[in-house]
Amino acid sequence: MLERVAITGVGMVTALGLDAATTFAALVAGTRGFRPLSLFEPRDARARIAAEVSGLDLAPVSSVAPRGDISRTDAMAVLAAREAFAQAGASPRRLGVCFGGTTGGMLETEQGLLGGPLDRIEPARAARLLSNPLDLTTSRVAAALGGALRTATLCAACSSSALAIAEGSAWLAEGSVDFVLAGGADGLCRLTFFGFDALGALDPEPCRPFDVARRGLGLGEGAGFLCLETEAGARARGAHVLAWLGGAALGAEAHHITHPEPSGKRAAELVTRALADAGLTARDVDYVNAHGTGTEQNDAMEARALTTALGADAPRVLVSSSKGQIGHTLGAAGALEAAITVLSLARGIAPPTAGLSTPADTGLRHVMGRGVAAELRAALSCSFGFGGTGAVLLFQHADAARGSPVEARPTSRAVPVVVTGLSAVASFGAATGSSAARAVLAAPPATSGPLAVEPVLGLDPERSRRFDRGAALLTSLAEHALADARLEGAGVGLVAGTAFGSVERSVRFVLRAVERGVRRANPADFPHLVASAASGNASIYAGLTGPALGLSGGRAGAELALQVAAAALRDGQARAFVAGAAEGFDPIVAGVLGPFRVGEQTVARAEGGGLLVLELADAARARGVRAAARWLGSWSLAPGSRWPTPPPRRVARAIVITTALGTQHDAALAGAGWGQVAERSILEQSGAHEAVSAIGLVVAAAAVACGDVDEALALNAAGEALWVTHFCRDEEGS
Amino acid sequence: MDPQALRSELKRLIIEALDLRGRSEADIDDDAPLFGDGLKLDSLDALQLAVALEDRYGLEVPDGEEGRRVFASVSAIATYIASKR
Repeated sequence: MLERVAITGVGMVTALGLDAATTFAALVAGTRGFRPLSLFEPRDARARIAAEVSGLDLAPVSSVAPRGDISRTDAMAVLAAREAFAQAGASPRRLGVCFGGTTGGMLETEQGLLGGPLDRIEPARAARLLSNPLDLTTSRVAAALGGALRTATLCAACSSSALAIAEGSAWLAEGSVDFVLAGGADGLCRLTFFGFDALGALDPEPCRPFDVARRGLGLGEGAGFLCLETEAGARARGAHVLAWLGGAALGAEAHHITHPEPSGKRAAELVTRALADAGLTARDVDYVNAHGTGTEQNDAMEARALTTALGADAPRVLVSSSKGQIGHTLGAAGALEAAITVLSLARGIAPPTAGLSTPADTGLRHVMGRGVAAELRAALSCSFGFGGTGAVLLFQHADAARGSPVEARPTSRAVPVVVTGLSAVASFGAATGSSAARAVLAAPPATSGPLAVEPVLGLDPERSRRFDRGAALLTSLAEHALADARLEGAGVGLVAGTAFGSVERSVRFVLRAVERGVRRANPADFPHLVASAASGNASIYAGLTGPALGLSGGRAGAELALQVAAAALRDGQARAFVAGAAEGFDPIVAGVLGPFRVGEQTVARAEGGGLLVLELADAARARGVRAAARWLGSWSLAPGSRWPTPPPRRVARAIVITTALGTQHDAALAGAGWGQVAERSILEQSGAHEAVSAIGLVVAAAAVACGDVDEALALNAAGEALWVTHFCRDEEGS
Repeated sequence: MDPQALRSELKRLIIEALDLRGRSEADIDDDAPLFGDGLKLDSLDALQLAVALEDRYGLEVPDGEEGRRVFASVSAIATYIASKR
């Protein structure tokens, strides 16, 4: 990292306590939080226990929702974020909220879904399944803290909130905010409990990470948040620094949707990269908070990875997993692991691995029984998940001197980001590269419903057989965009917006498990239901080893994906990013929401998406690739806010691409000096769906790439906000 | 059901339950391994196939080594089903 990040607040909600101090004291004492599942009937599941949060009172938190309708996940997130924020004594000015999760308000969704006969899902009940998108929790947290300037909602399975912390720290480096509340939350629900049980992955007893007798994981629930700020900012306001975030490494294995790459080679690379990012080596590390789920495959892989990466220091470094006490909290796990690591450093105590008495590996120094007091200088927090996603964060003691990063990188804000690959898919077929602008603008009106695109997508039927429509669209888009950019997948990341995820399959999975039994659920479907499954599948298919994540952002998923990708690129987490959005046709979404609304009008639902390959300008030049366009930024404008981009240099050489119908933005454009510029809507050609703005972004960048214009704006209305994205020709040295 | 018909039915079940697009009965050899080599199925497929067999034939597929023997090939599954009738 260019500059280390100060951690000035920590918040935790777990089965061991509703705050960080209570949780940490219980962790150190070796207390275990598992008890009989009470939130729902476990049916015929093999496991009947979980690390449930007890005593959670939703009332004091519900004021953050307009109608008071918050989920358990929302409540835990708000409590943990408030705790971290209060401890930091941060002011709400220029605040970012970066959230990671996997299922959000799924428990409440299920309750609505199950309130009637199961052979038919009528729209009113199915609507419950669409009422809790992941980014709703983020907006609850932002509201509870007095509003946020910037938010993102990431999903990378069980590493989600570790990625959120790394991404949030990159926002500080970009200078867009002064504080970031970064973390995650996930409540227990049938979908994940029955899903892991159907996979045979749950231990019926409290789980035993790293033990010879381990039989699987134990699910838990909770929330964890960290308050992040720059070193200069924290020092200037005299804040008490708990620890420093010194380095981060994000990546994917491109191996298998559920099996970790067995040698641990990829995970070891992440540990080594996180150390190098902080300018440290294994000699400087005294503690590792391992992911340690208690499954045979994760623990064996992780033990090998740590043994490899720590080398001669492995027998010295203390290692523990908190899963035997707070359970596996899925989307919250990364943030809770990070919070525990920070408190371990701050208090000089390494908590134990409960349930571990005979380690299966021989090369690591496990903490067993109770916590041990030790002077900890630096510590790692490791998180891994389905789809091969991984994140390793390195924290340093508050008194530690900063390391000297091996790689000197220029100040992040100054580095231009360019577009080097483009692809779009809709009823016009596949449009790629600079020809995409004319191809889309000249296309006949789009057809509605699912596309007859299998030949267009061109995927290997065997390798893509478990994909849903969203995953198939995204994978094909990624293959085309990478080919256009002349890139191989190594070191390339993927971030893709999705509004709903795999709704129909999720409904069917839960209903089948409840109606016919967990042992009759479709185990192979479950790993494909998490919001990051499409990104994970595309990453495995295309061999992408940079970070692979889904992004929940409603109709602005594509713009948010560009923002997230740019911050991660500037942070050095990938050599290129494929970013955008794809939305597969889902009969439940179509049946429940009806036609797609654009202002006052409605359009029949279709499917499609678009992806852009982003790189730092220097990286593109270094590999001899001419940029299609330069990305100047994507901005969300609330009504009445200042226009973020300058007027066009030459009106005749500019274009505005909108995904709106009619003239709803004309006044705003005129006020910004763009009123005389030619404006084209692509909605008729691209079809109506939540990822339509991704196609708009591709067309705008392609219009610049093909030389028709020198600059282009892409406009997109998402709820109250107007999103503006500005592309221009990439002129070297300008 | 005669053994040949049962093996045919099993192949159709495997193709349907595991969504083996583009595969036909003729692509699956009676005695070829289903997992690893051969059809290149993985452990997720094994779980899914166990659910499908329980659904169709009302029998439970054992775990562990015995389960691996049952799932060795189409013929092995057919023999197991016949033995449970």
